[in-house]
Amino acid sequence: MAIGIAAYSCYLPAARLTAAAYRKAWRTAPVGWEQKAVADLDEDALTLALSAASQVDPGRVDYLALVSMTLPYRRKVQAGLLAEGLGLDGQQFISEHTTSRRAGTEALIAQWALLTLSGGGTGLTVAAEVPDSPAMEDAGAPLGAGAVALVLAEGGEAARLDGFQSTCSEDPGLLFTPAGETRVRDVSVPDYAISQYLRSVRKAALPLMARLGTNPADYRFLVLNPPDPRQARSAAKAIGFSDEQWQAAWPYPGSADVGAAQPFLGLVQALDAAQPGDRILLVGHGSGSACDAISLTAGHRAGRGVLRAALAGGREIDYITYLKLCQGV
Amino acid sequence: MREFRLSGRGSVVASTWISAAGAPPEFAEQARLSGGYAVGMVAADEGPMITAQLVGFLEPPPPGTRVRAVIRRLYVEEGVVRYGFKFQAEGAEV
Repeated sequence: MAIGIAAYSCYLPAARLTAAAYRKAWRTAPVGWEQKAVADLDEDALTLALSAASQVDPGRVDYLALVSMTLPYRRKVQAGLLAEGLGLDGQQFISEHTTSRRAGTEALIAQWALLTLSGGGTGLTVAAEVPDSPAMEDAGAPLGAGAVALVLAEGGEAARLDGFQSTCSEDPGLLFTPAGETRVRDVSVPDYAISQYLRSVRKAALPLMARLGTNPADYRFLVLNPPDPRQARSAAKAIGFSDEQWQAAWPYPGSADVGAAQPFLGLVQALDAAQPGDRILLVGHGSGSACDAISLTAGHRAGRGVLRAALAGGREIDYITYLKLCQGV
Repeated sequence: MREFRLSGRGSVVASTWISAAGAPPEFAEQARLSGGYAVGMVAADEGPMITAQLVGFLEPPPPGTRVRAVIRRLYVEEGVVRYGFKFQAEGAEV
């Protein structure tokens, strides 16, 4: 049974902080982004998830997965709000994926397995982030808000899922938040960070391509979510991909880092530009570490301009307004 | 009596602006940080009249403005986030 993505959507809040506004406040340029979306005072990861999911009509939903590192509660089932807000009947299996930037691909693989094991049905995976790191600190600067919804079903008119390979290891000290804290910490050893990241990407992507009998030239798009945007080129090179392949699925300049939703946003950019039959390699990495490589083939419902439409509908804000929206003043 | 699900779409009938000084306590922080917010009476397409906040507007929208319901945070009380519907301009979410 061929499972795949039947439909997809994304939502970016209307307020946008530009790199120029950031530079005006700090006299330094941000790394890698030209604008990012900023959630309004009455938005959080759950409302963003609802805004993205309400743009797709999955019909009946059997499996509902919520993906976010920035949910409003540390301990509480929260996907119920998503189910009720979407008008579902409450008879869904729900799962919540919350502990790392790899949570999106983790949820996608889990839903894929559920649909395959159950012999059908419809899955809805929604990833959303509203940064909770202090806006004025270095950790908060590259973080943006956004959400992506993917509908999974048999057939996969937008993209077929062809195979995956996952890897895990124990890599302490990289982008972690101790229990009871909200700040993201890091031991700040760049050589260690990039060596662990590249090792994870290689261990996931290379065996997958070997098993599928594909090579980098067979793929039009490579979707990456490195913990530091400057590592994308190194990751692509490490598995034999060109700059053109990862840059064609690199929404970072328009979105900044949307956390666990980042791999899906890159996937949306790839699907928007894809022709039927184009292959996409989606690599989702989470520090700690785990990494998923997923191979997809675009279908006839790809190429819908979803990300471009979401990026187009914003209004610029100044840095003081940004701080207010982040409740930093 | 039977349950009936509204489409969530409607038109603004009347609206006004709530400044920080006029906001009820649960919305005071929102008003302080945003400089105020719009509220309005919305005629749902199915008939009922609904009073709610209007989001995404920098001034009260004129009567006849088409809107659709969205779920947003209302306020936090004793650590519990209260969610509810507000209305935003139709087409604001692409």
